[in-house]
Amino acid sequence: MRLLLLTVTTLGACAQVEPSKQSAKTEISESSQIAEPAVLATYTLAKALSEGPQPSFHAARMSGNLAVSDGCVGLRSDKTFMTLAFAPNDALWDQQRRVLVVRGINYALGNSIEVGGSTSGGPAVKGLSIDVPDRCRNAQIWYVAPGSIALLE
Amino acid sequence: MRFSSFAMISLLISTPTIVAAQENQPLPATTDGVDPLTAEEALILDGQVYAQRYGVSFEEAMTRLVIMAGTADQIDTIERDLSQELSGIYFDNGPNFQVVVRTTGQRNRPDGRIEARTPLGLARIAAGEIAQKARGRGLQVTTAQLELAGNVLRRANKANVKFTSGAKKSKRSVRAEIEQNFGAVKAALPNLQTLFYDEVSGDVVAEVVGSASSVNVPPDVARRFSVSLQIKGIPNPIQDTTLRGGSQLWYAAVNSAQCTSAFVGWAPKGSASHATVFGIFTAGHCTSAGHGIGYKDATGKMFTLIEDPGLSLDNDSADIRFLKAPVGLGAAAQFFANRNEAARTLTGRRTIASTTGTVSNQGITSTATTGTFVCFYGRRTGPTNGQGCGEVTYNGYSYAGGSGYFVRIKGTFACNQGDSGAPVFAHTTAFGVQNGCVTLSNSPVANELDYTSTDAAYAYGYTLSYGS
Repeated sequence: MRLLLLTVTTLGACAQVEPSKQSAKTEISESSQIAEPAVLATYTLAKALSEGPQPSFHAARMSGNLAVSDGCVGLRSDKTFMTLAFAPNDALWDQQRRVLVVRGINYALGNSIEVGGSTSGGPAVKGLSIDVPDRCRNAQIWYVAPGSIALLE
Repeated sequence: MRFSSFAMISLLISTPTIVAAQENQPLPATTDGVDPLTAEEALILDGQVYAQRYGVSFEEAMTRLVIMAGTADQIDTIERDLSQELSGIYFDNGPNFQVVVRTTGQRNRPDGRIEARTPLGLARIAAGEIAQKARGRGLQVTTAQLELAGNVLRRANKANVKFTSGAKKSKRSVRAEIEQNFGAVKAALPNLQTLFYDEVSGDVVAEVVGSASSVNVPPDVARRFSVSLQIKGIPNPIQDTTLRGGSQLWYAAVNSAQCTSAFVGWAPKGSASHATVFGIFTAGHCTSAGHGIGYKDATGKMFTLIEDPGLSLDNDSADIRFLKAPVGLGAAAQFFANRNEAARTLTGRRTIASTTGTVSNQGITSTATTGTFVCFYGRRTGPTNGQGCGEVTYNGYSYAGGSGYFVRIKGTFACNQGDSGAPVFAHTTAFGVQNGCVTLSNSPVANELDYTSTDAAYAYGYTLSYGS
């Protein structure tokens, strides 16, 4: 079964764009055969203060279904899509099998999951890696703290 | 007509202390450069809500709010002057906005006036500049609204004070009757929730769970009061709608867990109506993500908390926010501190200056090598592992360098998604709001945790609520 969902709305000029206001959003379902290449966003880590504490990660919680929207791996909760961003080398996207692999555990599209972190990440997060495409940056970003993903089902 | 009573004198059965007084401390200097909400912005936000609720114009709504917020000293004077004669005093929020003062005896007093006195320093910034900043914060306010709010704040806002004589009993005497007879009323009405004096009607009101018509009040109970005893039915026990620290916060629209609440407190006076100034502190990064932030009562009913832009910090120096309680949600100066433990009453707070730690790269001096021992209780790992504890190692730092409101504790504890915002405390003393951990894990590990000192809230005029 194929499901291709197109929504076209006005794209605002702000840097932080609400997910529901994304332009020309293309969502591909778990069972899609199109297998459009998807991007897994990553972030860079901040350096500790010279004599200060090791930076921490935020510990807020977000849950939803693993999804790909506009070619970005993320989380869908109700009608809101958030791009998930992971720490370097903490996760990878297996394009062939269409699964997210985090520390050796597979998460399939549609899986109900929860992640820790926040939309700002915390002191340990410096920012998105430069290779994250704009289409993924335009959605709200959830910076996933290392080791904080879990399957809910 | 609708009324805002100044004080509902109530006694509560087996329920925690309802927030009744604002705790005040000297405010430390702001160091992180974050602009708080301006007086104009706060007035616009509250004015929009008031105008919708009471069906008056936006300008009239703002005028009334300024009067209600800026005349407390004059109301106190009226109460003090009338003393034994005072039966009730309240704002009449109907079409004819005024202060109504009910007195005993037959002495007729001429109407009076009260005038809101806006503190110097308010409304001094050009509306255009404020509008630009407001838009930067994501607030939907226009330059015209800001100019109007500025005009309201600058001008003299007066309200009529109407005295009505002939009240049957004074507030003081009826209150004494309530205190004296509370036990007897409770024995006669097992579902009793509150017993209070209604300053508008002059009656004693007993709120009971269930239908009021099904309650039979024994004559000897009614005769215990010199005024009428009204029975009011409420659908659920009152203690079910009580905001506390150490509780689960939710994404309201999708009913999924979000963060943990820290401590109950108050927004600065004058930033909101009397009915909505109390609320709860949590981490600044615990944002709604478009779903609203919710709090559930014991029956599972979800209340969407009101996000307060006046305290919403998520930066290098602090990570704390305040969420106002909506109508219908009460609050207690309590917090949950451990699994299988009743809530604790908050009795005080520790400032950065009084929290010892091994200090490095910060502007606050401390030479202690063994830090203060503090604990936290997050709703994700706490119910399984209990509270997590550790010693303060860094104190009053900013991730940008220099001083800030962050404090670091080190110990062996679990910390994972949903713990953010948790209360950090020692016994019944608040230290701060949990922000994050170096290692996120569901089981206890050698770990470090950041919290934001309550000093950050006090820097913006927000205060904790203490019980006894």
